[in-house]
Amino acid sequence: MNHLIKSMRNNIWDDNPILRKILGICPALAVTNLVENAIVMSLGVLFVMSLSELTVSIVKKFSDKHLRILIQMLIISWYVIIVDILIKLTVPEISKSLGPYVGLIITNCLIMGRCEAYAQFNKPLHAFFDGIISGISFGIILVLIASIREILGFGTFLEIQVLNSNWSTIGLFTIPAGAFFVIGIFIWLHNISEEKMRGDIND
Amino acid sequence: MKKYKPILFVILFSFVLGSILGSIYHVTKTQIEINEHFELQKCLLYAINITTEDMTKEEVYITFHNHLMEERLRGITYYSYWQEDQLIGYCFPFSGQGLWGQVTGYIAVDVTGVEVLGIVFTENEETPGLGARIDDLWFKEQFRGLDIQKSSDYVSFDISDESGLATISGATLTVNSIKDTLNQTIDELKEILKEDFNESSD
Repeated sequence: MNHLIKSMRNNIWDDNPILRKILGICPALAVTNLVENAIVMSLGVLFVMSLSELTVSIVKKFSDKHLRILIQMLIISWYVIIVDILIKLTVPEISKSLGPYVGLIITNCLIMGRCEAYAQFNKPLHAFFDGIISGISFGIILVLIASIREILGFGTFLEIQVLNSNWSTIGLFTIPAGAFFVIGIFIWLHNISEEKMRGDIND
Repeated sequence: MKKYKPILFVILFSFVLGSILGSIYHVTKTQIEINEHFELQKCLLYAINITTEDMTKEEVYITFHNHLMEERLRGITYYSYWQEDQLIGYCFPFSGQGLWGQVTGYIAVDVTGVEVLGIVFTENEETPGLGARIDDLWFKEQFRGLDIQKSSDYVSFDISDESGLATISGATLTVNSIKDTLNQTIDELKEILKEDFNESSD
């Protein structure tokens, strides 16, 4: 249990995938223009990451070390295709708007990063929980970035108008370049708050 | 034998994963096709301006078959639109190159080729939140009643033009592709209406 709490704190704050490790930046830039997209992407990543880590941790005993990247890619893409089939089967109307995101999950370096750095050296159950926690930490930041971008770029939140029509929206936030500014500001805020916390401890 | 072990493992592992995936695909294939067909029915009903939002699957099925009839012409599958035994218009498929991939959909025109009844996009691979916003309701709705009696440039996103439609900021390339595809499709459609159905807007 302690291990779980420590891992959760590490992932969400100290070693946040986006703010600290700068991993998974591609989807954080590409799909955070709308909150709905960010939520869907986060759920997809959570599912694929937890199960991929579990599987990688199980098969690590049987596979050769130098073939591990190949095996990991195989596992990750396998889960992504299953997610795609399940979505088409159960929620076909969402599948239409979600099409491009599912493929993007394969290219998320965070998933492979966790498989390589954690699942390779830990027990299956620990790896599975690490996947869930990493997915949540990734999702929180994605949704936060998307909230700022959607409100400033489109004047909406979850496609509900929140800024009145007198506000002029900022087109920059609708394009991926706008995400650089938001992520940059988040990383800066994360760094100064960490420094402050460290300073408080030293005092 | 030991040096072949890793290769054998990868082959076996790929075979196992591939077989499971194949089985899942095989089991779900029929239901996915049914879902896709149902989505297509909803799209076509939207194109002829019939809302399906509050309809059950059965209601969509009945409404679809009451109004639309599948037909073939010049190797194209199209749908004729009927209302109480009166032919109102046609739904023709269109397909063009978007920014990242194919954009496909249906365009519904009235039987005399005077105006567009509606358009719908069935598939696109455009950037989510940018090019993919061609599927937004406000964007599709502005095509309803679009005059296609002139000889060219039916669809225009030029704001100085009186009949110019609103474009999507940040998706210029996608919107331009849509414009070219639709203009070409409408040209072909008018030709079909003139030659095959003996209807003309002239």
